[in-house]
Amino acid sequence: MLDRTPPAFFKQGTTAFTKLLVFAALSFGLMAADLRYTIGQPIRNVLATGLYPVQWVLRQPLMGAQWLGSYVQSLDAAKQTNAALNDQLLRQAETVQQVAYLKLEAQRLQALLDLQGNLASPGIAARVVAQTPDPYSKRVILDKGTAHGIQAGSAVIDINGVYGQVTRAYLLTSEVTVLTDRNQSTPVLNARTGERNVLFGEVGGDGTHLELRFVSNNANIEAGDVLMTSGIDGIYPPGLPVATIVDIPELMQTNYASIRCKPLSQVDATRHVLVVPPPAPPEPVTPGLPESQAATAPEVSQ
Amino acid sequence: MIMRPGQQLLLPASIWFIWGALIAALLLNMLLTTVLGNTSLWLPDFLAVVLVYWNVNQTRRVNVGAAFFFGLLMDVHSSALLGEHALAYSLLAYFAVSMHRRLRWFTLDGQAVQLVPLFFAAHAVQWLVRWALGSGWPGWPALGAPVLEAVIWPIVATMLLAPQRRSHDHDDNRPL
Repeated sequence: MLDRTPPAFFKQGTTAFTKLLVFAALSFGLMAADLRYTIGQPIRNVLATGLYPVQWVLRQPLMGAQWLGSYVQSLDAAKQTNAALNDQLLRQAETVQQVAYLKLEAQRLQALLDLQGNLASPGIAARVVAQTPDPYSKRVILDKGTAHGIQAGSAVIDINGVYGQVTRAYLLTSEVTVLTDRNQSTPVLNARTGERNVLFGEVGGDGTHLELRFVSNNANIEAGDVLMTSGIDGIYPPGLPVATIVDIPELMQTNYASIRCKPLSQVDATRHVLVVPPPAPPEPVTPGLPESQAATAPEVSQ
Repeated sequence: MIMRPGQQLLLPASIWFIWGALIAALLLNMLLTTVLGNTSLWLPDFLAVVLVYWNVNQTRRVNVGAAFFFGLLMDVHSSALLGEHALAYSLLAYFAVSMHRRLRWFTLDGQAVQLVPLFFAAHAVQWLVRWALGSGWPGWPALGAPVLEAVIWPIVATMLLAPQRRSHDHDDNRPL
C-alpha cells in the first residue's frame, strides 16, 4: 500500500509528537530514578543550588513581614512571653541540673559495663524558612544545608520534642519531613510501660495527628501516655518526647486498634529547630574471628 | 497562513519578551507557593498558562523541550517527584501545538473554554502519577486550579499580545 501522506512542504525539524515521546519517556525515567535509585539526587542538587538565589530573594518579603510582625508586637505580649519563659526555665533548672549529674553517673556505669558511650552529638540550630508546596506531603525547608554540616537522615527536634527528619540535604538548604507526613514513621516507646511501637503520620485526618497502628487488644495503654523515642533505630537519640495519646477507639471489629496521638512539637508553628546528626554506626566486628570460625565450621559439620 | 477576517497584522514577537515572560511566570509561581505553602493548591499555575500561550502563538520558538525544562525546575522548587511537572507540561505543550491552528480562529473567551479540558488533563496527569505511587488525593480545592487557569487565559493572552499590537511605523504623536 502506498504512503498516502504527502512529504512535508517545508522542513520543520522534529515533529512535536516525537518530542513529546522523548520528553515523556525522560520524565518517566526521572520518576523511576527519583523513586528507586539515588541517581535523582545529583540532578535535584544541581537544579536546587541553581534555584537557591532566586528562592532566597523571593523569601525575603516573607521573612521581612515575619520580622516586622515580631518587632511591632506590643510590650505587654513581650512581657508575658518573658514571664512565661522565666517560669519554664525555673521549672526546668532542677531537671537540667539533675541531668548533668545523671549523665556523669550513666557514663561511669557504661564505662564499667564496657558499652559504647551514648555520645551526644552536637546539634545544628536552623530556621524553618518555608513549607514545600507539594500537597501530598508535609515537608519544610531549613535555611542550612550540607555546607553547614547537615546530613540527610538527621533527626530534627524543636523545644517541645521530635519534629521530623532531614530527608534531603542540598548544598545550602535542606528538606525536613515532618512527623505528621503520612509516609514518615518514628520508632517510639511508651514512657509508662516501656512497650515499643512505631508511630505513623495519620492518613486522612486533619494532618496534625499521628497514629499508632496494630496495637493489640490487650495492650496496656491509656489516654495521656507519653511516647518517647526508643533509640533502637539509630537515628533519633533515645528519650526524646514525641507525642501523647489522645484517643483510644472502642475495639469492635478487629483485634488491632489504631490509636490517635498528638505530637508534642508544634508541627505547624515551629520556626527554630535543632538538627541532630545520627550517631556514628557501631564499629564492625573484627574480621579475624569470623574467618577462623568459617574455616573451622565445615570440619565441625563433617 | 489563512487568517480570521478582520484579524490585525502583528509585529514579530521579541525573543527577549518570550523568555522573559516565561521566567516571570516561573518566579510568580515560586513566590506564591513560597508564601502560601501547602494552601496554594487551588491557585492557577501561571507558568502553565504562559507556556500554553507561547506554544499556541510561537510554535517554532517555544516547544515541548522548553516545557519539559521549566517543569523540571518546578519539580525541584516544589520538592515534588522529579519529572511530575515535567511530564504534565510536556503534554500541555504537545496538545497546545497540535491545536494551535484551530485555536487562533476563536476569540480569547472561546479559546479559554476550549482550553479547560487541556488544563484539567495536565493536572489530572499529576494527580494520577501521585495516586499510582500511593500518595493519595490532594484534596478538592485542587479542582479549582484548572478552572482558574482558563479564567485568567484571556487576561494573560491580552498582556502577552500587547507588545505585538504596537503600530508598524512608530509615531511619537500616537504611541499606540
